[in-house]
Amino acid sequence: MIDLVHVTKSYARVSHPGQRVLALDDVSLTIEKGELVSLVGPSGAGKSTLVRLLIAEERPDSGKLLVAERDISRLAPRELPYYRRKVGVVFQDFKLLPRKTVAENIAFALEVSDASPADIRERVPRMLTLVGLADKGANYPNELSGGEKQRLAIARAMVHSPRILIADEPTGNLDPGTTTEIVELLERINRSGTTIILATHNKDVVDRLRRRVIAVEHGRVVSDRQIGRYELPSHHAAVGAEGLGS
Amino acid sequence: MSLRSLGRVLRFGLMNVLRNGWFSIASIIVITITLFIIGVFAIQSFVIVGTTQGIQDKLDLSVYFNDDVPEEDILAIRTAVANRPDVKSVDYISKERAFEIWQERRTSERVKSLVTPEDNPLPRSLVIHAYDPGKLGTLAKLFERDQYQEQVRRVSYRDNQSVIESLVATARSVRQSGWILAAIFFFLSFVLIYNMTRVIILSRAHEIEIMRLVGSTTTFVRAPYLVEAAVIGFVGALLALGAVYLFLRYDLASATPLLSIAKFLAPDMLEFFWSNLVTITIVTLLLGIGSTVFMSSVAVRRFVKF
Ligand SMILES: Nc1ncnc2c1ncn2[C@@H]1O[C@H](COP(=O)(O)OP(=O)(O)OP(=O)(O)O)[C@@H](O)[C@H]1O
Ligand SMILES: [Mg+2]
Repeated sequence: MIDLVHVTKSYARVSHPGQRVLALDDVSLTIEKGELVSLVGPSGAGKSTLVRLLIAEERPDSGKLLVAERDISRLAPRELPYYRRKVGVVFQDFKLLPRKTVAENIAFALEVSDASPADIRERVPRMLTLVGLADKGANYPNELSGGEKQRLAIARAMVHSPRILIADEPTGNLDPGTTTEIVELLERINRSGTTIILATHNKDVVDRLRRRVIAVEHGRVVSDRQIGRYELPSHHAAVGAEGLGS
Repeated sequence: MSLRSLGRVLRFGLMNVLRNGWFSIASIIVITITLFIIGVFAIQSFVIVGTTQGIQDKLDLSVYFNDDVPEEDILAIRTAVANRPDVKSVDYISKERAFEIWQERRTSERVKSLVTPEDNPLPRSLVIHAYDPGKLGTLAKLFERDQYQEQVRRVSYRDNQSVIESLVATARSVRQSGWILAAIFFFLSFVLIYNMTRVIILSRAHEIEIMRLVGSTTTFVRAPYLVEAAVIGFVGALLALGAVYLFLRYDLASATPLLSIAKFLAPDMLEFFWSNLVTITIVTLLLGIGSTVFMSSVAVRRFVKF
């Protein structure tokens, strides 16, 4: 499903012109269809960079990024929107439109991707039911709890029935109870066949999932276990990971 | 883009105009002022050009003869003058014709009754049209020479010419100041609309980011801004047309120093406005919509990163 082949990505440093920060350093990995993979690592390890590469928000400096056998680093600009409909994404800060209702936030994603009104009428309630927000359709995002906001974001990400769902710190702003709720929702979505990549700092989440864990540090994959736990080889990283936002 | 998407883009654009409240109003106001200035000056230029053309055609040289000159002599002079290459036509106005013209004049009956066919003091004359009205002076000099002194009572042409010259000169300077003003306001509206679009785009960075993440096409992100601009241009053009009409209707031109030449042209300008209403409307709408869409597309191209 997803293949990274010697992917390297660096950013220009605005504060030091001419210098670059190496965010991903020769990363190779494969994720099969239907997997639920946790991506862990200390702050600045390169998790979000990997997420941005996968949603074609950034391009690698070198290497290949294959998703469903297509090299997405070579997508033409006009192909990007269609690719992004195949890959759902959610973030720590939800990215909801505050002036649209819960239902409108989902409908908006369909409207701007040329869906028919019939399609919109059918899919919006289905997505709300999927994430357990069927009775909140007319509410505005600021009337929702953090967990409900993230569920709305997940509903929106799933609206095009993507084959891959990527979550970058989805529980970063949530309390432990709500975190469990979101993780269970992601597991449920995964069981229906969607490949899930979950970038997180949260040790409890990773340990409870008992699924594959890929650890990155300084832009490199430092461990990759099929049934992993949240443990990092370098001790300073383990300390740094506690309580740090993205 | 499908028809459905086009409908949505239009809806988003219209919603944006309302959402931006004061920004939209400010842009509409500058566009209205810009188009209004262009409209008034353009109409005035056209009318002045039309008027001078009309007057040029009417320019002639009248040579009045003393009553004791035999008609054959006048007709001989007429033939001689008509043979000149720079003369377009020469008309002989007999006493009878002069009387008719007198009767057609819009003066009081009392003045008209001063002249009767029996007691007709009106002189006979030759009315000369030149191909180039500027040559009338040279022709007039001919009749001021000694050989005609006994025959010619009076030569008249000068008054018209000076009016024409000053009209043409004023028209030119009015048009120049009109273009300068229009250019200043075009620049102002560009600065305003460009910056307005920029600020709106930056303030909607969040929304644009979401649109990108959910797989929206570039058109969907950009086109509503252009629709928004088109609406502003459209409304501005309509308001400008209304303003131009009121300006002409209530003859506000006379009160405007730069436009004081328009004082005696006001009825002509209103008449021109009505008889060319369709053209004026189309040109104003095209200019309004075209310029606002262009202005905001420059900003959209620069600031909508996708
Ligand atoms: N847009 C950017 N411009 C410059 N440097 C960047 C940019 N984004 C990330 N970086 C740098 O790249 C490295 C990797 O960042 P990234 O955001 O991928 O880390 P992360 O693992 O997601 O961290 P966190 O856990 O804090 O979210 C860091 O050193 C960061 O400073
Ligand atoms: Mg991150």
